[in-house]
Amino acid sequence: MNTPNPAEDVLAGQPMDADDERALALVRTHLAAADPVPSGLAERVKFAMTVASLEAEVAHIINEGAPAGTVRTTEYDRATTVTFESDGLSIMVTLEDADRGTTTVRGWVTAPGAEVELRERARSATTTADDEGRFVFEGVERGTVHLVIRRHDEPGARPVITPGIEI
Amino acid sequence: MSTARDEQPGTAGAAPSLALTAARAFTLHREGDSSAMDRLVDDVTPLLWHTARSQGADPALAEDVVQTTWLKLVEHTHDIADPQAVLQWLLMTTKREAWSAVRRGRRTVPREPWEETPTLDPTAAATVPDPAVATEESELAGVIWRHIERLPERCQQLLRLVAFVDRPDYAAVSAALGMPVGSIGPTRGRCLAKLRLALTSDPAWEVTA
Repeated sequence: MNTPNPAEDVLAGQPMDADDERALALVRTHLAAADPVPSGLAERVKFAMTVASLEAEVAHIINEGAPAGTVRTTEYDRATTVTFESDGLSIMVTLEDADRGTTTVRGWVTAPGAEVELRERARSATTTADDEGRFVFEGVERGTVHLVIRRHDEPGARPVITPGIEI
Repeated sequence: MSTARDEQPGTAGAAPSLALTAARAFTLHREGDSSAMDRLVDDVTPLLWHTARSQGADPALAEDVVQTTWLKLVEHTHDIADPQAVLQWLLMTTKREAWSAVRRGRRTVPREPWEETPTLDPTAAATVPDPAVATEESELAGVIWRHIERLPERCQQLLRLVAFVDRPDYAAVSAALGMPVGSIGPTRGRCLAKLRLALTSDPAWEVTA
């Protein structure tokens, strides 16, 4: 970088012009095609941040209802019933089509009275599981949601978060 | 919030800088806005990806590095004194994480089953507008890229990143890479001058310029 080059010195001291902007735009074009940001990276980052900031435990899918097919744990389509499990807690979730393209999320958790939070992209709703562990969220819109379960029957228990559920 | 730094010379009429957008989102996040951090992640993650990649991290490692950087931000949310510095903090953290991860030569985050990363998303929107235009543009982009690859390492790093931001953010990018402010913009600076010199003698560029 230290070899003296008068032409380079002159160019370096001139203001940037439209050709420089164009060259940089083409660098962007090249990288966007050759080295694209992985799809879903930002979503995975957000999930990891949520888990970290809640100090939550992540529940894992142990069973998925019909239709059968390939399942990626972060995204799956049209699953109607999914069961998640974490340390000492099971959560079963059923999705039902409802009015105006919304979905009713019905669930059951093995911790009656637990606080259940449904996290959507920019908002969240909270309810309490009944004496039998049942809970329901109505009018859920399309997108990826997570459930966060906070149990009050075991002091010191960490909240449990599900991987993304595709509505 | 002071607006002194909002207005930088030579940025009249430009889109709000990423540094400023990031500072605003970070301030809102600290004030309890629950969606502000999501916006920050959406806005800045692409630049962090390219930062990690330009430090030599392979795609899997770059993903880990980007994720680690954001998790560190969660950890240090209240240690960052000036929200205006959050973009630079993110860039520097990514660079440092990438640098050391590449030298350790291993993954930084244990893979979890829910983190399977699809390398190709068939549902992603196709970004091929007019085939003829696309071809011409991508050929020219390839020409530029071959010149970029012949530049000194630090120039490659700088130009890869400034390509993804507007001028008001050049200073933050230079500083995060440990290069003096003024390494690029408002004058060309060394790296862009080297590129320009190379392009001037390349007929493929001259014809279309």
